[in-house]
Amino acid sequence: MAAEKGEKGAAAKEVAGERMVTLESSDGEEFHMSEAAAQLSTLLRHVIEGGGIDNGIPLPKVAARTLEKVIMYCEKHAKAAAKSDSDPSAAAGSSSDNTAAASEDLEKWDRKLVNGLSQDALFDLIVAADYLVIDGLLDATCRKVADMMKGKTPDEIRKIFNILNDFTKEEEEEMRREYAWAFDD
Amino acid sequence: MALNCSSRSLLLSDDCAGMMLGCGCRSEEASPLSSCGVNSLWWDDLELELELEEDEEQESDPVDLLPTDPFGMNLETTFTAAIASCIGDLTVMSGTGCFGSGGDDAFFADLSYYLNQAFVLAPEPWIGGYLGVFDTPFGSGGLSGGGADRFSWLPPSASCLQPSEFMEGLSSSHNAALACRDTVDATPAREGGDAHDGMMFALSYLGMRDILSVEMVCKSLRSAVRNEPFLWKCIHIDSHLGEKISDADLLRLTQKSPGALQCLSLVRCNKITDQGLKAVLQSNMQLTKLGIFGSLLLTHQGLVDNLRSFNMEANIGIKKLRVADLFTASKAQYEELLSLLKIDKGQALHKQEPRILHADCFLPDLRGGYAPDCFLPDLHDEYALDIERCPLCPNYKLVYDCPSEGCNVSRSGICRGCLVCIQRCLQCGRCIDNEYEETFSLDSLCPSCQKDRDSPSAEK
Repeated sequence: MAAEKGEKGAAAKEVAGERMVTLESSDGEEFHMSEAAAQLSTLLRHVIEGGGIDNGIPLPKVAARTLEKVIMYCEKHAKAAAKSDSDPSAAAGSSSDNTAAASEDLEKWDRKLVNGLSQDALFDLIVAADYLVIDGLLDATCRKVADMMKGKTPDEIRKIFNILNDFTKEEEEEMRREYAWAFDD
Repeated sequence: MALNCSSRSLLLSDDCAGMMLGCGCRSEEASPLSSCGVNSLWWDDLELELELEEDEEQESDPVDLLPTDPFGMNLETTFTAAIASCIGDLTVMSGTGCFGSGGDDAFFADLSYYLNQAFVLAPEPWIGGYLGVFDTPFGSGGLSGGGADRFSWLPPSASCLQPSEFMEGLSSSHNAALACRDTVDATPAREGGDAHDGMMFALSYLGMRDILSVEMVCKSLRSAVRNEPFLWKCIHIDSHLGEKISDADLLRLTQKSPGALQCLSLVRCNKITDQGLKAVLQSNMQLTKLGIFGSLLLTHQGLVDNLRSFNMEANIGIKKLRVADLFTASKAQYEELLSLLKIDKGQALHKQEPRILHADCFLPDLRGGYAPDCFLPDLHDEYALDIERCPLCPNYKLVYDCPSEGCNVSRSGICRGCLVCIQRCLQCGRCIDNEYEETFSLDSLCPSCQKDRDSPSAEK
């Protein structure tokens, strides 16, 4: 055990039999996540496999509150994956039902996670998910933002996301004319 | 540590800042007409805290670890004062039902408690403040221009650089913002900021109409939409847009990102002519997939001529063609089409999975720009041509399999044929030869789908 730990490097510490990874947010806060959860991030996976991280993995581009959500997502999905792997698939029919129900629950959990975020938290999570290369999280967060934009006029989008209209009247008029065909209902 | 705290505060909720600037500066944001999403989200969070609800996401908030007043600004008093001035202007908040009852004193007491405990809102005033301040050091439109230019975000892993530059720039100017706090409070109502970089990622999840809407929102988004070739690699015109788009409009769309277009899908584009399609093809020589799902003006001969002249000049040529029910092909016409496709070695000629008829394929898309599921996957499926020989007649058309249990769903099943040879339920795709029930709408529906339509069941 000890030899194994030494080989992997200090960043992968064992906590209750599970290998942990230390992450440091942009503001210096330390977070711990299981290595299994960290594997969901392609970036972290490469860093861990590369080894040689002594004092945790610094993430200067991810703030503490965002990192917390990222870890929440990864831990949840890692646990779900572990559970489905170890699920005794005695009867093929029942296990596929369980898998479908489990993945639906996971989707519900994802939706609850993104729905509970403020706009800026959501956007920061998108940026973090992209940086850490966590496809599932990027997908869930982007879908949420896309849902907020679907079917909305430019003015409504501005209001929802509090965006300043920096076009001149002429530019706006030009674009409106160009896309009149798409928007006259 | 101060800078670290500040950079963290940048990423906290901006919508709170709207409430906190006081003096009714952001009262526009709080009005019922404004972004309901922004304000309701913040107030929902506040509700949660005030009611001390158990929520797993709120349990261990690292925000609790923040120092209470890092900059010695007596935030508690000024903050509450800011709230007080806002409350006077805001009538909508009492409508949430949480704050109206109990009187203002109880509200402020609760609020102070919340502020003491969480201090989430403490640095908030700066968000609105320094974004406004930003216009000066970076020049007008500096952020919008700079942010977008730095933001061509594919491949995804490369994009991580841009936001950090953004954040570093912001945090370095934070101290400037700090010094100008008094000015910030006194600035006139700011109507909004720039689009967050994170928004750009969501663009690829939007349909064409929504992308055009987003393009009209602000300069940075327009730049993002126009300069992101990924968005213009595959253009899908759904039936809603298809009915309206003209030759010229379609050409203009395909030219948004010259050289990017590889896949074009046109649903019910009833105004597009052979000439129009020719112009599109000639301007997009890198096109490899073309799907025409319903058209009134395109002709078989026109399509053949267009394909022939396109393939003569293009490097790659069209590899995948979908014509759906554009025409009923004879053997000769089918073979001519096949010969015009630049089929890869090992590429399947026809659809390998069973083809099932769905109502989606025929109903208009009312959801504002999203593709009906059956079309895009069909176009992205690897096979070359969608029409094939009907087992039951000499024509070359779309051939459907049957999802009915008794009919053996597979390409070699018994119940396989074109729509003329085997009548199918428009909703579920089952064969309905003998059980056909004529309806007022003249839609072919099997008895179970007819029952569902007449009395919508719990399943639906």
